[in-house]
This record gives sequence, C-alpha cells and structure tokens, in this order.
Amino acid sequence: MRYLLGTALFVITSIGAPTSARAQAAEAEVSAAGTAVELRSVINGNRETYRGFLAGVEGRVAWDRLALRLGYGQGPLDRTFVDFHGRSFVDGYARVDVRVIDRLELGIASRARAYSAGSPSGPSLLRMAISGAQQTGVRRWLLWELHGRYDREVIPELIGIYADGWWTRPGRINPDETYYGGRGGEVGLAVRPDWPPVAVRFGYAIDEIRIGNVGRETVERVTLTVGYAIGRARPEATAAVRAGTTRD
Amino acid sequence: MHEGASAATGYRAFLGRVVCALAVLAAWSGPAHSQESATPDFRIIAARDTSILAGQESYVLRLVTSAPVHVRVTIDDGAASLPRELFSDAVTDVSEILWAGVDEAGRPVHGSARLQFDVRASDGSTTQLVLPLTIEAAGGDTLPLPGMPADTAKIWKQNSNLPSIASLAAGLLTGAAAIALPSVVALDGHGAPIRFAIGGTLGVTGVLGFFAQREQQLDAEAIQRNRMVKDAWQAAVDTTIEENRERRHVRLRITAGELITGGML
Repeated sequence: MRYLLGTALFVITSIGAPTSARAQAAEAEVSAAGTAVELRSVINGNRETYRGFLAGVEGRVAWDRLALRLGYGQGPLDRTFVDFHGRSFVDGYARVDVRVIDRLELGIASRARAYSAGSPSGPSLLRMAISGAQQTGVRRWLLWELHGRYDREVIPELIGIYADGWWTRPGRINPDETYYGGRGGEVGLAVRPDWPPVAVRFGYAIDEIRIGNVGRETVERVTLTVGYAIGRARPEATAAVRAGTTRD
Repeated sequence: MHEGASAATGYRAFLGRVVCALAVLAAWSGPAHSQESATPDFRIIAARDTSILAGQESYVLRLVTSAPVHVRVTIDDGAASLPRELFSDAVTDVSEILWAGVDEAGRPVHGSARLQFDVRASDGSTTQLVLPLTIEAAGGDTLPLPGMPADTAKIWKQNSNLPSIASLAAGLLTGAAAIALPSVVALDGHGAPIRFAIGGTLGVTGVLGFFAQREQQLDAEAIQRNRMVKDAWQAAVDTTIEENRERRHVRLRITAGELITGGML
C-alpha cells in the first residue's frame, strides 16, 4: 500500500511541476513483442539455466510529461543442460513515467513475474504472482521498480536510443524466501519514423533479484517489438518550430 | 498658367519670411525706386536670403505699386534659350508671384538666374528692373542600394557541433552500457554474448547519428543565419529607399543680388 501511495504522490507532484514547452499532444503506441529470455536461478548453490521465447504485447500512452506503459509476455523456458522440467514463464508490468527534464524520465513500475513447472501458465500464472497465491512448483514475485530512463533521438526523425536503469523492492515474493534487493538495466534503440506510423524497438535488458544470502534470480532479455504509433510528438521538432529554425 | 496662380498656397511661406522681406524692402525703397510723384511708386519685396524645397515651396515676390501698372515678370534660368514668363498682368496695388525654384521640366534650378520685371504705367511709360539671384542646391543625390548579400550557408557550417557530438556520445555510452550491464547488475557478471552485438549496433547508430545530425544541424543553422543576413539586408534597402525619398527633395538656397534698374524706357 505504501508503494501505491508513493506512486500516487510522485505522479501528482510531478504533474504539478511547471510544464515545459515540449509536446503537449497525446501519443500512443501498441506493439507486438518477442523476447528471447535466459533465466539463471541460483538457490543454495544449485544453478539452473533456462532459455526460451516469450510472445507478448506492449503499450504506451503519453500525454504531456506523463507516460503509462503496460507490457505482458509469456512463453515456455527450456532447461539448457538437462531436458527435464521445462517452465512456463510469464512477465507483466505496469509503469508510470514522468518526464522531469528533456530526455529524462523517472518512473515507478509494478512488475509481476512467475514461472511454474507445469500448470498454471499464462494469465493464470500472472494472477498468482499478483495475488500472492501459493502453489507447489510455482515461483512468483511482485516487485516494485524505481526507474530512470534517458532517451535521445540520434538520427533525426528516425532512430532514437535509450538507456533505462532501475532498483527493485519487493511487493509479494515467495514466502520461504528473504528478499535482499535487486536492480536492472536496459539499453536499446527505437526506430520511430515520421511515416509510416510504426514503432520498432530493439533492446537488451538484464535484471537480478537477490534472495537472502542463498540465491539469486537473473533474467536476461533481448526484445524486439513492432507496433503502431499514433499522435507522435517530437521534442526536437517542437523546439525547432518554437525557435523559428525549421528547415525551409 | 502663371506660377503666381498658386499664390494662396505660398502665402504662408511668404508670411514666414516677411521679416527678411522687409529688410529687402528697406534696401529697395531707396533712391532707385523712389519715382517722381507723377510716376507710380513701384516696389519689389523679396527675401534677400532664403531657402525653399524645390517644387514644394515657393520663392515669393511681392509687387507693390501706388498706381495701376502692367507688369510682366520673366526668369532667365539658363535652362531655355528664351526667358520664361512667370507673370503678366495688371497690378493695382499688391500682387504676389510665387516661383517654385524649378524650370519648365520641373527640375531644380541652380546657379545664377535673373528675374526681369517689365513695368508699364498707365501713361505708357515703361521701366525695366532686374533682380539677379544666386541659387545653391543642397541634397538630391540618392544613395545606391546595398548589394545583395552572398549565400552565407557555407560560412556558418563551422559552428556548433554540440547536438551531434551528444548523439555520438549517447550512442557510444549506451553501447558500452550494453556490454557492461551484466557486470553492474548480476553478481556473477555473466551476460549473454549477444550483448556485444547489441552494444556494437548502438555504437554504430551513434556514429551514424553524429553525421546525420551534424548535417541537419548545420543546415538549420545556415538557413537561420542566411535569414538573418537577408533580413538585415532588406532593412538596409528599405532604409536607403526611404532616405532617397527624402533626398529627392532638393533644398535651394536663394540669395537675391542688388536690384538693377533699367530706367524709364
């Protein structure tokens, strides 16, 4: 509850800050996402590595300085060395970002992640992570993440790059584990042409959850998303028009 | 039509010079024009030294007579082979003649000119008076328009690479971050080899962005600079045109010489 209150307070105070002359228009993106995942789990000295592919969807809605991101992906993970006990993996998040200065966003995300030895899978598994329900063979986390994200358009009106880093705090975790901390990072590039209204993102992310002194869960992801963008507003273009320096 | 017909418009100018004119009157009311009581007392009142805007203001000549006379006034300004008639009419007491300081073509007169007054009394006697004028023109030379500025686009391409350098740095740093992330995030520092490919892609993107943004930035700057230069040039042209409009109004300084009396003919 305190994280929810903190999120609400953060959003309210950020929106109340003076609005820059940046884009005021709303913009939205919805994308199909494919993610190659490597999960490395170390518990009490036992190391297990799983690899797999998640299919999912991502969405983003932004207005003025505020952005809401949602994402969901699910898929099977295979153990790499022993063809035994594949896992169903699911990962979903909801995130609110506020652009505090040009190109820099701060945000809070709630991420639910779980994997199971068999059933349930997909949305049912995600619901278990959110609700904290327990079931043998299911490992799940509900995490809170504090994000700082930098993005910059490096090839004007075409390609931008971004870097995202976050710290993790636990919400609901597996009851037999003591959460110790976590952090993660992601870098990538985003293709955002003015026309056609597509949005393509290619990123590399890694995050790790420390579980007491006994273990850690490391998830490494390479994600490709392809989607549709509407109402895109470019900060550089807006600034150029304001300064009267648009190209003739 | 005599220029004297526009007497009404020049009357205000005449009033403005009346003090000066009176000085001339005193000089001309001497023995040369003090006729015998049998002949009319005819006097010419004009400014000894004044200035007018050629074509817009007038040099005022006031003819005063004690008895009706017929007066013909001509001017020899050197522009025509024959003297030009300014006035020819009866004068019963006072008449005004206005001369705008221009010749028949409307061009300002400068140099020397002679005003000749042929006066014929009712008894048929005539006299001729000549008033020499020295006219100096000031102004009238227009300025040449400023030349069109050269295209400065290439000149300004030396400036400000900051945004493109920032893009390059961002690309290289995120590329390096992709490679270094596992070391920062994961306890064992292990990461998938694909991160090297992704890091390289980000670095190359930054390099491409450096060149792409540099060109665009410089183009935008050059256009802006050109626009400023062009605006400044246009302002200078407008100022010159306005200045020339003023300069076309030539101011004449007219100095009257001593009145020459031809005597009774």
